Amino acid sequence: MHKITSQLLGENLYYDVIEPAGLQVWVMPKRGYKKNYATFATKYGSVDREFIVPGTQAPLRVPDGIAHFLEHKLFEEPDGNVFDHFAELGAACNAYTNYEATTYLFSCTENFYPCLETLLDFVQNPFFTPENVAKEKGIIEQELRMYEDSPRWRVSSNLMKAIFHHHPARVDIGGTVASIQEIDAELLQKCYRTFYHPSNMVLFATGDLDPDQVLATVQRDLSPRGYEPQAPIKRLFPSEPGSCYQSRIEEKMVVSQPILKLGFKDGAPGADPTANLRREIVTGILLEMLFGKSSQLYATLYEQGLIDQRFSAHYMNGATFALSVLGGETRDPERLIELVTGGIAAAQTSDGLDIKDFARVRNKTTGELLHLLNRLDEVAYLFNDYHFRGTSLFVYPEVLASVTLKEVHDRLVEHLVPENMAVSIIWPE
Amino acid sequence: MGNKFIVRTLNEQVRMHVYRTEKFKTLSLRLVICRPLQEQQVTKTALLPWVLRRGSRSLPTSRAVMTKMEELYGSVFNADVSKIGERQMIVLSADLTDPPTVPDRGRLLEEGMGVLFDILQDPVSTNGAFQEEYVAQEKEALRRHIKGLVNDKMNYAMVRCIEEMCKNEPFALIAHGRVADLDEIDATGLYAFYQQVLAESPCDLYVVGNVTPAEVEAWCRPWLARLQRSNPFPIPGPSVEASVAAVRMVDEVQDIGQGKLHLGFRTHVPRTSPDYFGLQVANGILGGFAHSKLFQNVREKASLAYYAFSRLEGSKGLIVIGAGIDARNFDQALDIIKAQVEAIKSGQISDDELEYTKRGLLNHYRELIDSPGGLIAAQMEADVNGITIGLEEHCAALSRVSKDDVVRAVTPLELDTIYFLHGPVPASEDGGGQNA
Repeated sequence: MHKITSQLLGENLYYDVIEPAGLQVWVMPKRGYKKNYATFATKYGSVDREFIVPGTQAPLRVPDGIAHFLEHKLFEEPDGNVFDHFAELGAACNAYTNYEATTYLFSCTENFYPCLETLLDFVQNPFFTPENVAKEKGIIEQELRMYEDSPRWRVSSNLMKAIFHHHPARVDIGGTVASIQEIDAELLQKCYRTFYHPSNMVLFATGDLDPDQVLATVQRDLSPRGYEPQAPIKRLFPSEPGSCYQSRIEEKMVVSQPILKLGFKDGAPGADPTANLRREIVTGILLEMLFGKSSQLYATLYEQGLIDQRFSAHYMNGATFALSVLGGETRDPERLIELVTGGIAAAQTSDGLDIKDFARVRNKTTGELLHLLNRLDEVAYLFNDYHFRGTSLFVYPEVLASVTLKEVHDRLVEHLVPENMAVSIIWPE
Repeated sequence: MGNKFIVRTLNEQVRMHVYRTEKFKTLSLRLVICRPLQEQQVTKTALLPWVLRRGSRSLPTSRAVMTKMEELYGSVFNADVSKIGERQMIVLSADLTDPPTVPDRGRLLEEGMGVLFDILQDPVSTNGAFQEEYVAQEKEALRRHIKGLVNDKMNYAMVRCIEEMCKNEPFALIAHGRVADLDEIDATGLYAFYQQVLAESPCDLYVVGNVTPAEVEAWCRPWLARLQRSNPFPIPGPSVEASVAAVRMVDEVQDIGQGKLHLGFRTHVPRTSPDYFGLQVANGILGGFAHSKLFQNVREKASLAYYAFSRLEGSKGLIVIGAGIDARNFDQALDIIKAQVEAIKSGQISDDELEYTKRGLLNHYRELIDSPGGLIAAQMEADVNGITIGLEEHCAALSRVSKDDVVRAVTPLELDTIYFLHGPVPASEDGGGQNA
């Protein structure tokens, strides 16, 4: 396998591509770890709702929430439940769907290779019947209702609806109780055929592992399946204006105090993945400098009782959309908005960004990455996230080291402006 | 599983637990002060770490503390309370970045540890009182935090079930205390209370990372020289012997869409009992995994819920079952859940269920050694409960558990409280909540 080393992170990555299927296999060995962790992920999420099925001409628009529904259904096999196979091997398996990817995973402390084979098998063996599709609707309905009852989830969901006019990121990942009723076995099969080709997927493994053995195991599993190369998938997205759809969405729920999320819409990421990564890192540093726990603004807001320890500010960077999100629970959302926007304006006019803060936050960002690398689930999450956006976890520290304060200031002036802003508030009933 | 915590008692009765490993890029520290969970002091105790978070004389603001930690290559500091059984723990934590490439790492780690001790021993104070302003702000923050429990419905239902079930026991208290106590707390009284806490409470330092006990001891020495402590008083363990006269049914209405059904059981098995291992396996078979009876029967077969689990509160002898269901399915869900408990009690446990559950538990424990936080949490839980066996022996005992052991361990299991949180009744036929 090919080997890449990151001196800054003190880690190695090994990779290869299995042809003709086109599956990429990546391994990050972690010496001394007892736990092993592997993911099999497809670049297919809730935003992929309109596309052209390979071998057909006309675009297909599918019901909202179908990627998530498909994730649930892949756990069903003719001979029973996938959970049992992993349980027999003493492993834990799971999966999650987000806006742009679906990830199947397991973690184990023994039987790694049988687990890996089980993972590859179940994801490549769809089994949809009218009965098992109908049964899943009850389960997913309860999942959606659980989220609907969560004020912290609702405030974020509403923010996405305020920010985007047409982009499907405005729709909840799981869809709605109504939209999932339209899902049937045939539609699931079409989505599966389009997005679960190995060339649209990546296999990642980490733990105290031999990369060559991982590759050989995957190769052995794939070769009898007779995959043909697949042409690039045609995904269709509506054109999205630069403005926000609504400046504000408010709702009432049973909460102890209001919850505020404030979003700044960003332009869709461009064609150059490294430039996108750079924009993500620069924006992340900017948000940390302005709103992080060591910032003056955070101290002021905290002392005035407007935020608590859980107040957060982060950049959500997808392959097809991006925004900055900040907020949390607050006794007075209007006053919090005023002070946040005031703080941003103050930083924009004067030389409001300090070089010492910049250097510290940049160092801190490296440190945080090192902390995350302790955890195999985080390693896998980060790896897949960057991989699907055409870049790499290993490029991250290099770009981070080259970022300048001027870039951060330019970003502040360009991105955190009132025209890009929308707010979502949950009020107590 | 190789390494273990090396335990030494340092000066001033501080116990040090050091787990040495080279595989992490961090050094994790937890300074733990143990208190009895009691009505009279629960809120004062909860407030302490929040006030401590505001800084020390040399780092006199939260901002100064955070800045200092960030300068140590993005290290992280926090202080909060948690509860284990009927004990309330003040935990000051630091996760220090320990990059292998930094030349003066020893000095950095010593400095990071110094921040913890500095905050513990020399918090911002004047004339025998914490700073008024900090205490006032943190009282407000704590008040909002406690009230904010209702914002997370699943956790709220869990806490309410335990509160109702343990009405006359300390375990009903949440770690962050009670809103009603806050008004009478002032900066002077709280400071005096802190001095007492510092002098008399059991105090433990847990360390995981690439350091030796001798190094940690050397770094602690100058700090401990300034502490003055009496012998820590022993804290009594919780009672697991509450008797159940009749099953209590608690019904609570809130404007929500999904019903949260929780069932609280008494296990009558102390954490130190040899039957504890059988009980752990029983809880796993019941609702610890995706192959468990609750997940399979409530979710996969009946399609009634997205989540259905059981949780063992081993330190207090409780098992709590939780499931999110449509309120109209209450009777059906309750019947299915009760049937699963009865099945285990009557020995309807397949070989696969037993075996898979044991493997799953063993996997969970083996994974712990790859997580600094997980290692420390497991060791803290064992120490608090007076458990002297290590993870390895714990796993060995679990792997020996037979079906008979499981059945014997759940024989005394007794339903105590059924708690149901749901939307306004009657539920209309179209379900409501179609707002997305």
